[in-house]
Amino acid sequence: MPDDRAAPHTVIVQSGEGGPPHRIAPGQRLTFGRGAPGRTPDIVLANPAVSRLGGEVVAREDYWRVSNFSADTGYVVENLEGAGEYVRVPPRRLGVPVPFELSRLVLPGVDGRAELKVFAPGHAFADLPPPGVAGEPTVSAFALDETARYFQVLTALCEPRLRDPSATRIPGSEQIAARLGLGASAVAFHIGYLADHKLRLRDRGDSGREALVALALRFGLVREEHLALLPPGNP
Amino acid sequence: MTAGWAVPVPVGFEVAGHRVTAPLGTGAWGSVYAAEPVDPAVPPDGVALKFLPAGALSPAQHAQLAEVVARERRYATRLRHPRLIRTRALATARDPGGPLDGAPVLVMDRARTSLAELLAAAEPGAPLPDAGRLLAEICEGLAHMHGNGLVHGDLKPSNVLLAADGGVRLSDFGLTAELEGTHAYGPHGGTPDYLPPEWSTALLGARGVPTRTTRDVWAFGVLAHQVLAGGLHPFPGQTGRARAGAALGYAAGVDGLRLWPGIPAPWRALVADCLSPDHARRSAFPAAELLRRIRALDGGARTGRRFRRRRALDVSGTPGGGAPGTGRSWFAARTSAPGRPGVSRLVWSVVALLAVCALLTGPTGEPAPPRRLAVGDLRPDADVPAVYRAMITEAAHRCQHPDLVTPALVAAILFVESGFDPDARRPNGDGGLAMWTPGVFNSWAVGVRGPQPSIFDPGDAIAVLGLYLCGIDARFAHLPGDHHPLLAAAYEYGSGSVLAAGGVPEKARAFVDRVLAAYDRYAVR
Repeated sequence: MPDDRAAPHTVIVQSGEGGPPHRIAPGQRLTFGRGAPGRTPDIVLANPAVSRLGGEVVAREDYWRVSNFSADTGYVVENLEGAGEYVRVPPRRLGVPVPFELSRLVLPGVDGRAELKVFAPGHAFADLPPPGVAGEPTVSAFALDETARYFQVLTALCEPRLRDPSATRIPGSEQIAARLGLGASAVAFHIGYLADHKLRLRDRGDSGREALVALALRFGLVREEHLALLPPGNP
Repeated sequence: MTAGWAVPVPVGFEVAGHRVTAPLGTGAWGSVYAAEPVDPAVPPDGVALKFLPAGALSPAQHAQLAEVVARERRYATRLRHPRLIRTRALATARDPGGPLDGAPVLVMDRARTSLAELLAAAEPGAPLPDAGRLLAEICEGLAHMHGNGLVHGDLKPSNVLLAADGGVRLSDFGLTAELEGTHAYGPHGGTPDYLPPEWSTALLGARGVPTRTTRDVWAFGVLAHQVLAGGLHPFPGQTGRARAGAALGYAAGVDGLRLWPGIPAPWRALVADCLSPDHARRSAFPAAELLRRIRALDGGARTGRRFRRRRALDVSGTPGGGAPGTGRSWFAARTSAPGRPGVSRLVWSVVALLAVCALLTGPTGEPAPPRRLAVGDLRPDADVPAVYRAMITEAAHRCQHPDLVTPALVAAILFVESGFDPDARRPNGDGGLAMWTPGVFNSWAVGVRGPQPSIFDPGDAIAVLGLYLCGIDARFAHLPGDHHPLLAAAYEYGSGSVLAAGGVPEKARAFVDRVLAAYDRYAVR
């Protein structure tokens, strides 16, 4: 499969039922639903409770909007960062803007639920521009949210090297899970998100962990002061 | 007022033999100040000091700083070209115990203004005066850098400075990177409005995102659109993020390129080529090639600019004159005389024809050769009143004969005619800075200046003098030798007397000698 991670895009949509991720640029849209003969949405959610044409996701700038084409079923967009943040999308509501970087679009279904994961990795963060300075601000290519869970995971990955520059050991997913009190699958998800979507590593290696640590330290994305983001105690 | 600046420096601070006199501007990585020599015996030397941070930065800035400082220092002294800002010296601030101790300081030529300021003051939709020359000079700087294996990396209006003579000086090499083969790896960063779409989704290698010359070409495309359309950005949106999003959508094929319709087709094509959606397609348009095209097109821009005033007058009485449908540009007027309110078709045609004849055609009727870097520019120490320098340079540079109609020639004629006295008069009615004869002046000023050009308005007198010298030379195409004496003689005694004598007539000899003497004092050699 060609690597389309370099194609112009700002939003990535991944079906809960697997398959390759869809990448869309501002103005592009993806429809989703159960589908009907002759009418196949871009993403097919094979759940009888989902409408034939359930709705669509449209990329806008660095965020996205979701429309609910169902006449009677509401959807929910959850913030995958946790903290219980969510956005409700009532039936027939069009173009709800979603502010989260990592989201799960949940459609009520028979036997559980259907879901789409939607990532907007291009959220921008100012480079602390001097206040009151006119002109175009310079942005960094690395738009990392230092309050996000994935940043905590990245910091934990770099922790041994930050505490001892000669350290060669890079913690594994289980160790990070234990260090942060997360599930191992959540840690694996965040590492995958960083390597594949957020920082788009050209050569991620086996797990992407080594490449992530090398990049984060080389470009100063994670620094000593970020160790304060980790729970107290040594790994 | 330097609160929040990257490097606040108090007025009076001394470094490298200079004393800071006023803040000029700041970027994310450094701040620029005007300065003058500390030693009162040394005359003011037009210096700006760029201070880079010494340390004590916010953590987010820390990582990139060392690299940016190193690059700025390395490239600032290595890059030598008339279109790149000159760094005279590198110094280190001494401020024992103070925040500036150890700050690297670049001693640079001070610029008069920047393209950003010109664009901010521009009339939206109308090209900047001298658009063609500005673009050619920006492209000269880029072509030089690319030819020497460097990517500028942060081309944007605030980094395009204009020197006292109006010439372009590219600046800010903090994101400049050296090519290794076809790639360079620079510090990561940029300005969203001027970053190519592939930048935000490029795959990251161990050394970061590769930087290529096509990055500068994209930025040049955006900038060229702004220069040609009075600051309007080629992509819609009210914020940089929105415009960057629109550019991404365009690169993904969602939307076509919708450039400002007032830009004439050949220039639009140039902008569109620079804004090719990906690296591969854009790499078909290297800066050197763009420069050739701009120089070839530049004649059109020069001709067009003289419609500008008329257009401004028209628009003032036409609500919504700046909108695409109604605000037909001055460029369009060059080839199709539009029937617009208040200006007759005939006048437009005649004006267009005159202008084209005067400026576009050389002696053979072929388009004039492209303008090279003029050697006849005004020397900085020339005894020409500062208030007229920009006008003189602009008037001369409008001409397609760069070796002939130079700022120094225009200034020399003004000096001999009036001694730079705008109120000078002769009993016969001649007067003003250029001692114009009103009847002659009026015939050359048609359509060039405002509704009532005056020989006593220095701007009018100088602009029309430049136009006269440029246009009249076509009549002397068959005459051999240096044309400077011919032009001076023609201005004072008429082109007929020059043609009759087949050279400088005897009666003009004294006048011509005085002009040539002044020229020698004024001209850059």
